[in-house]
Amino acid sequence: MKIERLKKKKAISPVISALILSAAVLAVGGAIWAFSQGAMTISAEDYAESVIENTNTISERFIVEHVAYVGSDLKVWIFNYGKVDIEVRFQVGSVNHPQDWIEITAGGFAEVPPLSYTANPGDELLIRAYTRRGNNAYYRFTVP
Amino acid sequence: MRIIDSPCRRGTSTILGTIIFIGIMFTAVIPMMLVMRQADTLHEMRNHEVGSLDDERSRELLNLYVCPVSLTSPDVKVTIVNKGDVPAHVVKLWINDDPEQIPINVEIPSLSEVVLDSFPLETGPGKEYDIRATTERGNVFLSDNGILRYDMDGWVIESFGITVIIPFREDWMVAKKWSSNFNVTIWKVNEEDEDDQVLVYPPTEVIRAISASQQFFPLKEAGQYRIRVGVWVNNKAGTSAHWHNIYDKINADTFISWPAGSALITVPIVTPQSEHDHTC
Repeated sequence: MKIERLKKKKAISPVISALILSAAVLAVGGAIWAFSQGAMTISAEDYAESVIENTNTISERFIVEHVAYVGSDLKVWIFNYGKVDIEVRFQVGSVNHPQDWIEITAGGFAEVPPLSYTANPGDELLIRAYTRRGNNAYYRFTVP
Repeated sequence: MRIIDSPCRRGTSTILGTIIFIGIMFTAVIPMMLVMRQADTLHEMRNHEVGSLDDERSRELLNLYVCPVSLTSPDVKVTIVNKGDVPAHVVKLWINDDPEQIPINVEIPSLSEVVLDSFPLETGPGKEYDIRATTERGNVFLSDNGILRYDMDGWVIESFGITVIIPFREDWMVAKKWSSNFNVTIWKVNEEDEDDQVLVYPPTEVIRAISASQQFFPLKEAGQYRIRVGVWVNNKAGTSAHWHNIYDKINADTFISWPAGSALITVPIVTPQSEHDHTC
């Protein structure tokens, strides 16, 4: 009897059911929307950052402008003629110098702190200046 | 009730789903693509810029001439000649290991030159000066004169001189009774007034050894010179022996342009074809 009675009962009104269904769709859709917006913003930012970093890497332009050997000190001057700031240091033989990166602004140049280095007159030294982004500049120097 | 019920519900969710999809497209995907596109454009632009900078850098060509104002004065004069296709901006002048002794910031248009104000150097016996110029594009140009040296007596500079080459012996010269005796006369010419000439070498005899000969005339300074070469013509029917001038010129070939050019010049005496018909 009870089942019979329930069968005769009508369900919740169609308007309410439509509202519930729409609310569910809106809730799920909104969640997907928010997630995708966040994910895509992060993706876009990551991509833009990587492209800008890559752009800066290919934009680096610098030279070892001058090298001098005074006493037993090796002095190196580096000129950043590019349009981005660089962080640089140099390598001679197996020695990397200095310990910390030296920052040179775009268009600027820097005298690297002297490196105490033993060399004989007539020795040929290959000096490799390299940046944190991985670019190199070479200079061949003959000790006077 | 059943007739109006289910189609209404299906339509609503489809519309809402479409709206959400379009919303995601417009507020997330398209802005992301625009940002990426913008980054790519920036990358391309920068790539083009550095490519252009590299190209211009390779086209820079400067000649740097450094010469003392006088043999004993500590002052030197620097001339920078831009022989490249692009204007050059010189930002540093190195004196040995010092880039800041002489502040410089000079723009040199293409195919022109700039003479800097002369400046003194700390001179002393045995001192050497290696002078170089750095441009904004990252090129370093060495002095074309090499390293300057100051000794006890003053600056050690180039030797100046003119080598005169006497022409080959040709059959028609024999027919015209040209001998093997030539003379060379050299005057120093005032560059502002060509008529103002100072005799440096009075007629100096040069003998043609076999076919052609050359004679070196050392000089004390650079500048414009007049060179005259004569040949001794032997007796000929109706004409007595005499000196016949075959070369007498003041031009670019007789100009010692040091420091902007060589300190030594060679002047070949080319006898013009018209000499064939010339009656000596």
